[in-house]
Amino acid sequence: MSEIIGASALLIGAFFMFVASLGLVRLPDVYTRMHAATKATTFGMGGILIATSLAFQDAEITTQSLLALVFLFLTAPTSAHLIARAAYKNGPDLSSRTTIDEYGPYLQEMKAGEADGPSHHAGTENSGTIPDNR
Amino acid sequence: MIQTAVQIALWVLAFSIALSFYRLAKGPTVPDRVVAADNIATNLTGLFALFAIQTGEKLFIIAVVALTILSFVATAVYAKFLERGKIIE
Repeated sequence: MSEIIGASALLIGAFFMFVASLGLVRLPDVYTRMHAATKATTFGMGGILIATSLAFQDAEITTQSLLALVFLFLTAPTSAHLIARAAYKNGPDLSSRTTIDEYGPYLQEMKAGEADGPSHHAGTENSGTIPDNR
Repeated sequence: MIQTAVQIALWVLAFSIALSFYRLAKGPTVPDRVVAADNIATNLTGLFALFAIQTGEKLFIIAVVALTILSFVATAVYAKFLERGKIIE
């Protein structure tokens, strides 16, 4: 019984890893690619590590794979956030089908606030539009 | 039964690493390549877990934990390099 559950968890995990790589190839810009890679890969690793702990039936192996799983769940969103911020500051190569961009006006507002004191006026009237300066 | 599933999953993970290498080689910007390298590292940890099931060797699980930590540190350093332009100030 546990072998059936382990094998199905393994196959589901491998399938989601494959979906992550497919999204990495087919999606249009950096942010959507990172969204696919991070979420689906985290879920796939969850399936594979549950399958290892079911295959070994050992307390030590279960503890170590749960440790790896918790660490992956903590670090994958963090590294995705870091890369997204760095990619936007490196030049926001947004897709042409992007409908809303809230980080660009926020960055402009922060830059204007650093330039001429605490005026929160700059950048608020064009919030939600895609900036033109690449 | 679980050995058959391990064989299938090994082929699937190898194919997804090949797809990530396509994005790593082609990717128009540098963050694309960083995301692809991070995806390759995570697929590699999955391969290590599969090797642990296939061979029955328990040390591969330790390697999974170590590779997870290493890939996180590598990605964080890449992001800092992209954002600031230098790693150690």
